[in-house]
Amino acid sequence: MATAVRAARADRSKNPRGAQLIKWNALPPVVRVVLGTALIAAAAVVPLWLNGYWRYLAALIVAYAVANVGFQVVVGFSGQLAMAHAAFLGLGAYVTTILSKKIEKVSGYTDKGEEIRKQVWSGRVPYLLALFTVPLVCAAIGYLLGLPAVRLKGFFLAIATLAFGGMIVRLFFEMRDLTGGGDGLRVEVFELFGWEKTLGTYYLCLAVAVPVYFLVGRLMRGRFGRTLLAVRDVDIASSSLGINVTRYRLAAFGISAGLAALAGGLYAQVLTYMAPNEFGTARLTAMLTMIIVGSVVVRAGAVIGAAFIVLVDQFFVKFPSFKDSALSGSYRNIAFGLALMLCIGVLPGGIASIPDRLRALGRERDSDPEGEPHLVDPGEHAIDEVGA
Amino acid sequence: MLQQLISGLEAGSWYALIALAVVVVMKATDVPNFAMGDMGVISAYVTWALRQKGLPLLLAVLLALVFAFVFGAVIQRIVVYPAAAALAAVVGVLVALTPANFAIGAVVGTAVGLAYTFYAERKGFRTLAGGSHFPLLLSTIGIGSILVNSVGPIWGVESHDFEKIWKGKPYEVGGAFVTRTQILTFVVGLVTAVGLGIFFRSTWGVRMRAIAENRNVASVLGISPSKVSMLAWGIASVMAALAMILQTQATVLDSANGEAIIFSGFVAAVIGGFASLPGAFIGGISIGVLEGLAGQYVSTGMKQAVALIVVLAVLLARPQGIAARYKAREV
Repeated sequence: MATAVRAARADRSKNPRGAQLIKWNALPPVVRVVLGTALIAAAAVVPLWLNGYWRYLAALIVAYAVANVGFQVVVGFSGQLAMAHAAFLGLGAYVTTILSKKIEKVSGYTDKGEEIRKQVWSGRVPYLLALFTVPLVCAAIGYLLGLPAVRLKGFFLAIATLAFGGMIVRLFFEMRDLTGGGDGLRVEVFELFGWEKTLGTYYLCLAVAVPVYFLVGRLMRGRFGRTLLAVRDVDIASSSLGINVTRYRLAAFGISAGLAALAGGLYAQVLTYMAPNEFGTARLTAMLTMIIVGSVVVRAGAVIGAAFIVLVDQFFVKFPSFKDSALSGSYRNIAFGLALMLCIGVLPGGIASIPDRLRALGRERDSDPEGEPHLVDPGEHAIDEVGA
Repeated sequence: MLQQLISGLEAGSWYALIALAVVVVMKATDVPNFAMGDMGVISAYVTWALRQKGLPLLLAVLLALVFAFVFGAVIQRIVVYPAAAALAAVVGVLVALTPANFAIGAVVGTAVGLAYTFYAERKGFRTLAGGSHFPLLLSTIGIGSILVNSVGPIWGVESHDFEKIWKGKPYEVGGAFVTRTQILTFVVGLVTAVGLGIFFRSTWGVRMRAIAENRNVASVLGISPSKVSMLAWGIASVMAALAMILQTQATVLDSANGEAIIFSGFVAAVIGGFASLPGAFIGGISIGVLEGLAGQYVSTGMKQAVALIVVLAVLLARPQGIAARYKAREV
């Protein structure tokens, strides 16, 4: 353990900004493999003992985590305030669901008053095919949205992407034939190997989330992720080094949109029913809260944030004094707002930065105060760099 | 056509007021305030609550505007010291656990939070003021969510009818009807915009612009950034209160009112490049009118998409123009 910590410190001095990302890598490979396998195994086995409701919550956490990893890429790593994330989640959810479902609508009534139903969409695309192709299309849409948007900075970008997201949600309302409009859309649940439904959905989410978690981690630790950080922190300097700043920003846009859509395809399966407002500003606020409470750059923060949101939500649903109250939604949203403000105010790196802070405090005690900067926390730093 | 124009002008006046409030906060404190509409909603509810207590309506409005001013200043402090909100919540919950109700808990909690912000300023704790936009934006989103969701526990989740300030039959102008509320709305919108323009040329207005240009230099010159910021937020809060009170005159009092118009307000502010008061005013009016016309001649769904299309068009057509002007102000 001591060697691991020493290695982490050595790495930190070489590249202080990447410190947090490297910590896990500083562990010996054997430890990493064993720990990682144990964690995944735990995630796979524990739901067997949970009841259907907790399996649903677990699946929700995993689906959110996928979306959060994508949000981190564009907000944390590339420092762009892309606020269409909830809408891309919705786009993935709706398109995946619609493609793999038969949709009929009432086109009229017979003389006896019976409904005449007309098939609007036959739904021949297998769910799994839709789940993996729709994100590719959404990534392309994100890339196209990025073409004009990357020229905007800071909260101008936030407003433009907010507008784009708003238009997508309006489309869900307007394309009534396909989406059911404000009445919502029932989702055909994909049955994985004929297992019990909630368990199948959970394993489906996990089977998608684990590779995403590792692949994105690999991408962000490698050349691509480091270049993104450089573009975020010193865009002019990096362009003078021959880095195509626009290309990297666009790539971040595309990746995040694709991951949001992928998460959306899973999210729809978890919810089994959705309405357009599901993907409005309230969802966006919740998604922002997730990555701020977790972390904007540390992947573990994506899971922590998702778990936080889902469990706090449950607290207000289940807690006796709120349970039967029409106000439980209000209290819950107040709690989300407070969590957001608290993290910005006193914990800018999110919950995932707590171990680093504790370590930094320990170091402060046993080293001279004039030495190298003690609290180098990329999460905290990242929050100030976003949209700068 | 004329009828649509009139109702468009009415909605445009609300947007213009919110846009002006957003621009004042932006110009003076460099904060993109997404909680502006929700702040106005609280003031509108205060007006309603005062009226329920039996105060004359005009007095209730006046007192609510005074409340809005103080409230805006308090919110400014909490936004730049977000930890105060958490402290306020802890105290608020402790108070609310006693037989006291949510409202008393909220007031006591806010008072403690406010006291903390002054302590934090004196001790030089980390503040978001003058920093980058992202944490500030999140902080306003957080406080907006807290404000709008506090309405339910305090005043109930159902919407309420709001008494008209200027009662009477509508006037007929060229075949169209203009309600007295609409006339009141245009006049208040216009007067506020002109008054604000004059204010920004006064000493305090110049101080505000100085703070926005360079916080450090301004404070070296003896301008107190925290006082000026509180003043700016107070003024903006009054304008938001006016917008929301006028809006409830035409619709009903509901906590979702703020969310419904804040986006249009922001779009109007974008048209003015977040720096120009006349630009924001004209932007607000034009969005209102376009919405009215689109609702009549295209579809009601289109009406809700107008602001979205306008902002995309403006930002995508001349991002460098707007951004450049904005940057020039920062330099």
